[in-house]
Amino acid sequence: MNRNASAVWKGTLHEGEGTLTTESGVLSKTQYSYRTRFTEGIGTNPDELIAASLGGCFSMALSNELGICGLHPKSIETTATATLEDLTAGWTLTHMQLEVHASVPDASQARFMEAALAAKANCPISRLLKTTISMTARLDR
Amino acid sequence: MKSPVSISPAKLVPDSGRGNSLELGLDVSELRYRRLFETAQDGILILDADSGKIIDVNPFLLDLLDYPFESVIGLQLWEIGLFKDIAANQAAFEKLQSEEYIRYENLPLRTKTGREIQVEFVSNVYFVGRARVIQCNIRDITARAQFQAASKSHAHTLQLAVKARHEANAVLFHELRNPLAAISSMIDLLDVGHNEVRVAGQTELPPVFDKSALAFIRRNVQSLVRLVDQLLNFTHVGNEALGLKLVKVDAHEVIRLALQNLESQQDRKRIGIDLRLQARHSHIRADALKLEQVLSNLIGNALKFTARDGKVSIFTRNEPGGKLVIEVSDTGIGIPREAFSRIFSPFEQGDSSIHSRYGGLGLGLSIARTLTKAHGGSLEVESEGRGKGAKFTARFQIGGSVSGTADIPSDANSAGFVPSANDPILRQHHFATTGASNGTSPTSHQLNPNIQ
Repeated sequence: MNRNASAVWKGTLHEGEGTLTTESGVLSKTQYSYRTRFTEGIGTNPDELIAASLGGCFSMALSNELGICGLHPKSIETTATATLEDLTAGWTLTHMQLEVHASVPDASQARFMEAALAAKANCPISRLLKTTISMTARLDR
Repeated sequence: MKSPVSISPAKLVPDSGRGNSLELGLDVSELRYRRLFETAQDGILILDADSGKIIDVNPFLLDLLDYPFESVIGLQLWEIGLFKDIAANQAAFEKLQSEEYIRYENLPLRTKTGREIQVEFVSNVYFVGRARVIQCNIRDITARAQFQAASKSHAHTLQLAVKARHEANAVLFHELRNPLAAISSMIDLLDVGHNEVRVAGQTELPPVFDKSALAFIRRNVQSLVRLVDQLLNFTHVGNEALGLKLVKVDAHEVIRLALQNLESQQDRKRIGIDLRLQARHSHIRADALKLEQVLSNLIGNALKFTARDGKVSIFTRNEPGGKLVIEVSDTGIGIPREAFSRIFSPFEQGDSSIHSRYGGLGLGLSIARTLTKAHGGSLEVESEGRGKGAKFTARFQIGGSVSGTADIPSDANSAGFVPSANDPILRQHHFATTGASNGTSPTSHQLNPNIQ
């Protein structure tokens, strides 16, 4: 299975701007620029899209892991934060942080944590990202 | 190398006559340089600069080339094996003619008898009276080249060792970090649960104490302890500081205990165990704890690399020559043939994907084989390849009493009791059998071991 997105960039790094379009059409010539990435501006940036990817993928994976244990989550809310730092080698995504708040009836803390750790280790986007992913999790039953 | 010849002109020059003195001085000089030429520990060739033909050669080079003096004179350099062909010889000669100096750091030279020698070749042109000659100095650098090649190979080996160490460290740190991260996450979870903002006016209830969180933390702490234990064991095995306490041990009992210790792992994955302890003679002279470690590592590995609902088989049998054979086989991921040679090396696993999928330090099999060998046994692996399971076969000499004899007993079980694996005394005494008899017959269990 292949998924694709396209990017068009026009102009210089600082003055130029680009658009992002995804195959599904959810992003359609969505604007991004140096300002939307490093300062402020209207538009998206690649880093928040990575965060969205990880958060979305992790939440699905957690639901799956809980399901394997016979647990059915009412909701899983995940905030993913991508940390971009200016290192000697250049701007680098150094760290991803997941904050999970889940409502899972009948789940013990241990079952929930095992499922969350398994989801963090095994979700497709986690496996793609060669970076440190930390996580804090909260469970409502 | 011989010392250069030293002749003092003052001693040789007589007092009478200026002409005689000059002639004698020339003779001394001739003698001095002739001796340098003849005793030099480098090969020296003198060529006619116009024809390129050899006009003189020193004894050292003749020895090196295995040529008699007469057969060399008049030849070209390529004819004595210095250049591979006429063209190469001609190119060198032309360069020498134009630049009056050439140097080759590493020239292959083939002697008359076909021996290959690495030589350093330095040549320059100078005048003798009006005639131009070429002097070629040829140094046998075979030993140096061999040393350099060995150094290079050694450096490469060291580089590989450093790389392997870095990779091993990365695996180790990853394995240490996983349980720590799990514990840290659980502490965060507990912390969040105990610090929830309460709505004013509502009765605050203490958070429910969830014992599963404690069990989770304990499991991960135990995992850390196991890792550190494994590292310590590896260090001890590496230092050969094993200090084996050899006593007579019933290997069947050790297998049962190893299985019992791995029961939770087996249950979690619903793996069936086919236990057939069919060896009639199962007593060996061993350190019970170390033997348990060997068997735990083998059975633990089989469970680890076998998928849910798979099967692990443990068979024992006797072989001619007084051997106890313990086979641990599984229906797991298998091992490619090319990995057979390295899976017993420390910090090695079947392939690089194994660690990312299954974790582990890659020390278990290394420790198992070292300990098996320390008991005078052997440990071999077989696998039909990926996805086709694996079989590890350990062989030990059966029999042997505490006093050191290794005779095959007429009935091994009659030489010892078969106590419960849970027996604390049993653990304390390392399964040492003491001579009591219970007449137990070989045990066979199918897929549902009844661990006593």
